[in-house]
Amino acid sequence: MGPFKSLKSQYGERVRVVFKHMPWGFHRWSKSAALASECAGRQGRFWDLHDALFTRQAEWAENERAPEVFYSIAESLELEPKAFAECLEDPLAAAAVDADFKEARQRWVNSTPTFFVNGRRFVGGRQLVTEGKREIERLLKG
Amino acid sequence: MSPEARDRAGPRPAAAAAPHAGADRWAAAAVAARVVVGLAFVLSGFPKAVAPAEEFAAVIEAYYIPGLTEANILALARALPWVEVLLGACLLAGYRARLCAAAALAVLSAFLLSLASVVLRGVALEHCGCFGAALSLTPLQAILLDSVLAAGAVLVLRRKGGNWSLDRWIEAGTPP
Repeated sequence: MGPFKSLKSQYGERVRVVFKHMPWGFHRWSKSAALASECAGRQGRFWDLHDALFTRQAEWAENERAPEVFYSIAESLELEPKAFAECLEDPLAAAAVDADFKEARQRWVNSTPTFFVNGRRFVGGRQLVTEGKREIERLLKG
Repeated sequence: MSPEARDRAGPRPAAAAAPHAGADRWAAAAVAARVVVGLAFVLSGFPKAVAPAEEFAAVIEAYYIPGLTEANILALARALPWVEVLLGACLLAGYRARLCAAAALAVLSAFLLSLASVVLRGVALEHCGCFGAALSLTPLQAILLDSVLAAGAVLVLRRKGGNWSLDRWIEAGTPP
């Protein structure tokens, strides 16, 4: 996510960023992690939990007790624990993650991360910082 | 030769029959090789050809091939899968089989060089991206597969397309 973050900080409010979940089935806890970040989002802390999940991926990716790690991250971010726990059980939160995944498949997204700049596709950080950045510049000038 | 004359001549010596059987086996192997290589090319090219080119471009980028620019990579990502499909279809049909086998061999050699370079440089490549999202192979598995396919292409190159090919049909003027 490094290139994405650097572009986000470079352009700030001049660009609008919309994040979509793409939890791959072959990563055991990816859907639970997506759900946890969705629930953090309900408390306005999506990016904080998202970043923590990526930083601490080694702790939970293959861990039988990954949900405990998610709760521990949520606690360290001082999220409201009851609301967070209820959200994890909320079918609407799970449906939001599923809807993002379905949309990604409909758009032929086969790799993560994939970025769309006003509909134009860039797969991976390298494409984003080269071609993608040029596209953003072009759109901002236009 | 009439049946009577054949009886008088006696059984054919084994030595005379053996080369013919051997040639038949090579001809059958050439057909099998043509079909296998053709099928592999179609199956590897088609998923990439119908997917967005940026997907395959990201795979090519992951090889970190020196000298390839972003524009070149995207152009390659757009063209290469269709080249694979075309070569595969030609091989399956047995149309200009030797020419297509030579082209397939050149493509496979390029794949093998790229994969070997990745392994030797220690580039962290999880999967080769050879079959798009349809099948995942490690670089070493891909090297093994491409080597087998290259051997098949050499066989087709040396033995033509064999029977059941458009080339044979065109040569004979009748269907196989």
